[in-house]
Amino acid sequence: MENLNVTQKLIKSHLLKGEMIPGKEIGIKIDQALLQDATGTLVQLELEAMSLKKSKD
Amino acid sequence: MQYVDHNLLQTDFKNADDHLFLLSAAQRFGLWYSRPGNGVSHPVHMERFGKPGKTLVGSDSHSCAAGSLGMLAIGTGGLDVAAAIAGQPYFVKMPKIWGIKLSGKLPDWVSAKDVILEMLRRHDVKGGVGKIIEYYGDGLKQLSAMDRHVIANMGAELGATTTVFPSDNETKRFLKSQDREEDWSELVADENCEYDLHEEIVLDDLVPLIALPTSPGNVVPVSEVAGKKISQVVLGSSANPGLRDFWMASAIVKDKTVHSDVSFDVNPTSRQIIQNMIDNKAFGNLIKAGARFHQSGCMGCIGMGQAPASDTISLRTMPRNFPSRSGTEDDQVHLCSPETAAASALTGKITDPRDLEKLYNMTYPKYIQPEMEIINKDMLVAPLEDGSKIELLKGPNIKSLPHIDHLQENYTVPVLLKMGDNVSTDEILKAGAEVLPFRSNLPEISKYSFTVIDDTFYDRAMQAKNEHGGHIVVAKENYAQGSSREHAALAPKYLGQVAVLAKSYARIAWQNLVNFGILPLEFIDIADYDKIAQGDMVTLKNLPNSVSEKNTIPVIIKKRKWGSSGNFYQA
Repeated sequence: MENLNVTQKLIKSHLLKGEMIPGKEIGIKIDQALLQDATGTLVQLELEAMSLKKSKD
Repeated sequence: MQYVDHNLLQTDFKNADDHLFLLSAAQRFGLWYSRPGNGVSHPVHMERFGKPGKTLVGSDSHSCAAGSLGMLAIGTGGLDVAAAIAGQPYFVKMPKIWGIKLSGKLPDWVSAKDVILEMLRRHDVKGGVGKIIEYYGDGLKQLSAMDRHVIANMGAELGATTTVFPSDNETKRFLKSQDREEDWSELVADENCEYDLHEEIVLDDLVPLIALPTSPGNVVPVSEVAGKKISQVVLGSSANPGLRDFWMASAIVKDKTVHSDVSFDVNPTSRQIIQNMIDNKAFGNLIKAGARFHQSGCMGCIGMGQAPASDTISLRTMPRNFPSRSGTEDDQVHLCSPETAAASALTGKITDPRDLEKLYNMTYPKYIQPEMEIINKDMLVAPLEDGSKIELLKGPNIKSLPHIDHLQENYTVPVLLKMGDNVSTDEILKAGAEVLPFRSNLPEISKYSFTVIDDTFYDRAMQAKNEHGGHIVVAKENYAQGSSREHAALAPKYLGQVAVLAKSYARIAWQNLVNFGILPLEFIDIADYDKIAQGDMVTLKNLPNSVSEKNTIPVIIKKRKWGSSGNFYQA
């Protein structure tokens, strides 16, 4: 798979687990997170429940 | 980045308490905080933080909008986002990659919204499930980064995992206009690359399109429904967020007054966009034409105000028109481009914007992108170096997460609801100004579960919980499509929901159900859907074992009047 499309390039450069085969599970590194308030209060309560010290950059 | 864009109306203390809580939490956990009124998360993120080549997860289904900048941006349940914030990888089934070639050039009066509505016309609300949509081709040259945002944003409505655009000269131009040229890098497909699926849209062939009530997939040409009377037009939301979209509407209504039957509501998407609208005269022209301005945020898009009048048509440039989402029961929300919205605001009827040439002797206004926008970063609060001492500010409406019980061995519980295809999260747990303030109070918000479908649900669920220890619900295809709200799983769980039995699930919904301990069971034989009825009792046995060993899970149905059984399995 030498000639990659944009999606494959994005996934390949962040792939931590699995292979890029449709239907198979992959684990990817995440650079940014976006929260809004209507769902975010729950996320912050989840971070509290996880006893998170600080977000990982 | 923690944005505050949904719960802006402060009719009592609840939303204001949430804002203070979120600021304290952002500082405690080291996140940026975008203050209330600063703007809708997706366009603000694109202006200030989006970066080609990066990945993002967001606890909002329209997080995919960042794909407009050459990012891999996935909307997902909050627990997955919390895990990512804690440094964990994000797990997903590798989707198929669907290459969409855009060729040719958009005709006058046809814009980016019509491109994504064409995709929805062709493929409906589950056509993108299990796929990443990647746009390529010569047609891209004509689409600015914000035009691409319009298309990427509503990839969510197709059910796609996300949408990806390349990072090219248009991306560079956008980042330069935001004073962030240094964040640009090129990211384009290799020549002769392959896609799992192929499709082409010839832009020259497109016409103005409109999604009829009550699904974004219910798309027809505007000309087919032209002439119907309307009572409201709303501009804004993350589906048409760009300066260009507001300018286009302003150019159409300039020096005229909108029809007397029409409430012309405008939600500028960010404070920065307001400043630029003042600068390019769009703001004044809209005001003069009769626009009612609202603060920057999601507002009418999530039913936070601007509910339409009874039995009337509301035209919106927004992404969704699920039943009652606007806040009015039996609403008739139509989704369209800024061009169609503005043209219809003038005439008081659904109007094909191409007809403005005849009706008003108008030529298509040509938007010229500014080289440099006015930049406003003042409402973004930077994370602290060390926030470990910051206390979380919890008002009386903010309740910590309740304990969730382990899955029991066996259940014999009633079927409380039997639903059809494409049930949306707005039907499972509606948004709007009445309900959204309870997003941080699970016991209260759970009372609104499924009320759009059946307002006796809460009472029946509590009864089933007390008498039988829970319940299940049944649905057809694409269960819980729409928003990423975890509450659509957590609230039913709180009411004792053991399992959902459906033909298929929306991606985020499946993950949220699993995260909060509701079994998302799938029919082995979809014909069995017809054998199960509301009111039946079902027995599920040996659950924890069967789930961990990925076994088929028999669902034994005991009819109220006769006996029957079927086999179903866990997804």
